[in-house]
Amino acid sequence: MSQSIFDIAGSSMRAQSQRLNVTASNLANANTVAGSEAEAYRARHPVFAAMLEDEIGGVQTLGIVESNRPPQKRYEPHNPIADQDGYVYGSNVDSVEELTNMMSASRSYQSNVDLLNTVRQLMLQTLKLGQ
Amino acid sequence: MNIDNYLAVHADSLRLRSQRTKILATNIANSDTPNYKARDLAFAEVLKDVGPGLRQHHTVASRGLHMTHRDHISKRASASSASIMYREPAHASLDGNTVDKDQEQARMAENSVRYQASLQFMTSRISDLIRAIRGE
Repeated sequence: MSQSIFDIAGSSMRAQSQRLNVTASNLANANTVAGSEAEAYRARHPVFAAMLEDEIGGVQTLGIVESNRPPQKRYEPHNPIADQDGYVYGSNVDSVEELTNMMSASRSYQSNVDLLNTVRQLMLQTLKLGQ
Repeated sequence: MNIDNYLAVHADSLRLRSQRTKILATNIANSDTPNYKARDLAFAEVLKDVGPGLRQHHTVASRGLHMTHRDHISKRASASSASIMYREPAHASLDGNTVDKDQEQARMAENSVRYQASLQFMTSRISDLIRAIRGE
């Protein structure tokens, strides 16, 4: 069965709001530090893929990948969680990247809401056909 | 006069327009999907395919396929995947996506106006029919 327009726009809205969620998580954890490189917070990003049936379809999230940029290593010997050499490991979140991501996601979400409104109006008019 | 025939052009037009709406919705939904290529309906091609049949009897296309048996599937205006084409991107993007969101929204607006125009034509034809039936 082919997907309806509401499925298509809905899947995109779901994907974009998931992207906003992940961005919020990244921004919230931008300034966290950890005692080792492995424990440091890494920026997460969703991976989108088209789910096409007959050339028509919405979008799905294949998964969430962690950024492989190295965490920031800072010398803070007085920090209680510093390792024995006095280093702490900050997250590898790039705040500028996250903010642009947030703007892009919210614009895409808005486009889909606009589209849903237009289609809803067209369908209501079609229902009134001949009256 | 055949009522089906009387409404045929606009009915086919509505069907194609709603199909195009779906394709445009797919483009907008996938505007952030890496390697997604924007598509659109080659409207002129589809119309050329069904056009001559529309005027006489739209269920039998006058060129190409002919219905010689009652179980044959009638040829109606529908876009096969062959008439769905890839859009020529205005500028390249790094992730291989060719959706231009503003362009898609403009086409969406145009498409919905044309859909409404077809609806309007249908409505006036139906009210003509009703008037004729009542003998006003």
